[in-house]
Amino acid sequence: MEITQSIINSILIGSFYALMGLGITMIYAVTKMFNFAHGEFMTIGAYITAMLTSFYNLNLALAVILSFIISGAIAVFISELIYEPLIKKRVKTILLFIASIAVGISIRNIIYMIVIPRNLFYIKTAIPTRVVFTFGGGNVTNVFLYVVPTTILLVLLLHLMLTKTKLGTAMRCVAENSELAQIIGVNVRNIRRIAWVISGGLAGVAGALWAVYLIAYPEVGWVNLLSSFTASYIGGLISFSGTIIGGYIVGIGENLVMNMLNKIIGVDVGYKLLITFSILVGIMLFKPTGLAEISLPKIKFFRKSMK
Amino acid sequence: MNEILKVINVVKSFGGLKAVDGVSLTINKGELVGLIGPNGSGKTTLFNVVSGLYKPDEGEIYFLGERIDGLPSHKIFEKGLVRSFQNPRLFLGMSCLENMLIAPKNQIGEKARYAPFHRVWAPQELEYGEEAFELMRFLNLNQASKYLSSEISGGQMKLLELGRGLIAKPKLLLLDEPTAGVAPKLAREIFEKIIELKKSYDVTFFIIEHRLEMLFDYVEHVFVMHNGKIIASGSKEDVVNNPLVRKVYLGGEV
Amino acid sequence: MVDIIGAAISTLTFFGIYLILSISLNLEYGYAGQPNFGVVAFYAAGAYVAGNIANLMLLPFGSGLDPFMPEAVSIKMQAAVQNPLLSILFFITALLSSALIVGAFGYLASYPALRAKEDFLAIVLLAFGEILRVIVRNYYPIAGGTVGLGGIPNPFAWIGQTQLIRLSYMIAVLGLAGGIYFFAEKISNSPYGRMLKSIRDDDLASSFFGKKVPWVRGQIMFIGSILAGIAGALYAMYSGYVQADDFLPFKTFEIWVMVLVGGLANNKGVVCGALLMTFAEKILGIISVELSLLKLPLEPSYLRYVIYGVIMLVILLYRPSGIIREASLKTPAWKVVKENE
Repeated sequence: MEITQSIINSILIGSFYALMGLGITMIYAVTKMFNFAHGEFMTIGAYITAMLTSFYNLNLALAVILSFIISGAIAVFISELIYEPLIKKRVKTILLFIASIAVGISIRNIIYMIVIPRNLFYIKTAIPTRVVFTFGGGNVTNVFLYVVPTTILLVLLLHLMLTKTKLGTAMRCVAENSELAQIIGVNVRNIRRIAWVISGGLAGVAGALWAVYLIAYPEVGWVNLLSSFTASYIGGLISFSGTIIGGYIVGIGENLVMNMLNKIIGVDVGYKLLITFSILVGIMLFKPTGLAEISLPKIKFFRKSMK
Repeated sequence: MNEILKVINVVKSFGGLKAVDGVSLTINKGELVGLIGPNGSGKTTLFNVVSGLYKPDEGEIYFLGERIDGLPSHKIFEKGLVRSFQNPRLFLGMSCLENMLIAPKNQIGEKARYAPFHRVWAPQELEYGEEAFELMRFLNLNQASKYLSSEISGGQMKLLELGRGLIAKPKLLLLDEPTAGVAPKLAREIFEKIIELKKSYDVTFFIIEHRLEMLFDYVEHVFVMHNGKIIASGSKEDVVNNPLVRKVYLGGEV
Repeated sequence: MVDIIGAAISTLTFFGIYLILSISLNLEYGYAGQPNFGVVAFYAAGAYVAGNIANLMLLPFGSGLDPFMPEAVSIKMQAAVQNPLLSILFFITALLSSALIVGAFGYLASYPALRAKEDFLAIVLLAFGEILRVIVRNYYPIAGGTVGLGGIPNPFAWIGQTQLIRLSYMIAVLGLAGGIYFFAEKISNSPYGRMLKSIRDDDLASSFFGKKVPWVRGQIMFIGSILAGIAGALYAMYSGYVQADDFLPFKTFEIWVMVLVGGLANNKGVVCGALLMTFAEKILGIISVELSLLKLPLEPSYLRYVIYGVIMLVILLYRPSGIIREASLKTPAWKVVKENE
């Protein structure tokens, strides 16, 4: 049945947006900047996993882990090179945002420059997509079974880290009030470094999984950025649980809702980003803090995560 | 009518905290009134509510007989109520003179349709320029007129903040700790200038201050706040001898 | 043999167009602190308005022709060549319509974010720009979808000789750009400009001094969008044909580089920035072509984008105020200071 398939797709895509959104939220929480180069970490992760599994026959799990590490490393490297000096100068956050756009453009086009002469523009992983079982008329593929559990696992790990470890508590302090955190002895700069590694790493994993789902290409991160950002925005840019929910809301909007609009009113599927944009503007107009303050029973479990 | 500001039972809470808890007070025209109390007693919040940054949860505020609670801050400014900030909020990208020139009301040149036509607003601008420069000279800031407001000293910033408030020709000027962090000699100068300006501009002053020894030399009436409430009100003698005030703020027994 | 005169004319025409866009952004961000990351959207809107005006004015009424197909395109072009008066009328109508329609557009698009922190305006407009491109690529009626909108004639096409046509258009563009520069200088060196800066520096304090912050913000977005719309119309009439991929987000970024390189809140600076970057772009284009003949291990046609990104980062890190720094606004009040020195 079509609706079930749409729901399955929504959950699949929503997982990607949740992972990416978490990275954006984490950086905003700790530095108060929007990282518009976030998509590029996803692209890097996608290429690494695609190449390692296709050309070197590396085990998928190892490739994904390597994607995490390499994307995370590049993220923190860029921060040290560019964002930290600007933060030290106490510039307005909008300038950090502009810098991240410049970083994104540079990385994106460096990737183009590298892959084109080597004919590496599109790379697929060596793993074929196959339907594992059907559920209520919809196909559940092996890709789904890679992506969704991995997402759930990472979310749980992140939650545990933030609530049960000293590092997590320190991070939440910095998100709340970085000056106060500094005064009570938290090494805010190190927290930021770790935040970049995790943020970049999560994007890398999202990219790696995308390469399994579809394909790696230079714009893969950029085209998903708006949706990921909307997911983070639904979480008010600081709530982790809100971001995760946001990811799935956007996933549903782009798949289920889009399909329904297509079937019922005949709106062309090419317009699906319009739904995402409407969600973004809607939240901005009617609930600018997003879901940061709502405490539904389900969210209480996560309430110990960042506010 | 002699009343310039009337605050009736104003309450303002943030989350669970009642920063202003049922405050009522009246200020008469031409007075120099002090607002004192321990840190965190709600003095600045009261100023924020009166000047329009916040809408009070309960209560009413009247300025010259007109109700102003709930009005946006720019409307309250238009009516003649001006406030300064404890940490000077100057326009750091602009020169000191330009900071002064932001304040005058009803500048023709600020309307987009007149702005491109210099001849329309030039005379008014020149007039304001002269006033601003004179006031800056009075405050010993005239040498700094060309400098960016970010480039002057802390004491000069406080003076500029004061000057900017005054050139708006307010009927009531709320000053939030005008001498905080300033050397004693300069603090004394600031107060003397406030008195002189009060005479020449016909302004009523409502001042939050901790430097009681200076405030009490000049002030006619004092309100004392503690935990969001007014706990004493009267002349400086009344207040200084009030046992509750001594206990929570001044320290020491009678 | 490279056609130097032709290249110079085309470069200078683009300089004029980019200067208008840069002045627009400088007013919005340099003076008023409103970061417009959707410049390309308003530029595109101006171009498409011009194109649709061409459809309205140059296609015979009730002909039932598809305005995007080659037959209609050539009819429109011919109409312009044969009718000098109609061409000039078209020019003026296109510019005025773009100005007003895009101005309104800019105000509406920024409306959600006028009361919020500036960062949010940046995001809203950035997203808006991309969404507009998605719509334009998919929606046939006004924008021609993937076919694109062609047949937007150069208003001087009736002159006949190509070089002369281009030269005349360049003069018109530079003249308009000069007028806009003059307007920008007048409006910024005034109490209005001072008010914009106060909102930029501390919008809260500014409201405490009687400035209607959301209203002024909306107003400057309106003015800025008018200028961007004019620039878009000028581009459409130069190019003759527009389609969605002419309006990539990178264009917004290019204008930001021009403004930041030249100097924020400084119209003279912006002229420098636009001049430098327009010529740099031309030169980078030539270098890319030469380099691609060498079969290097890195594809050179993308190099220019990386260079732009790096230039932006270098400016932000080492010279954020730009080539020409911001100066005090020149109003008569300074006479008083001068007299007392």
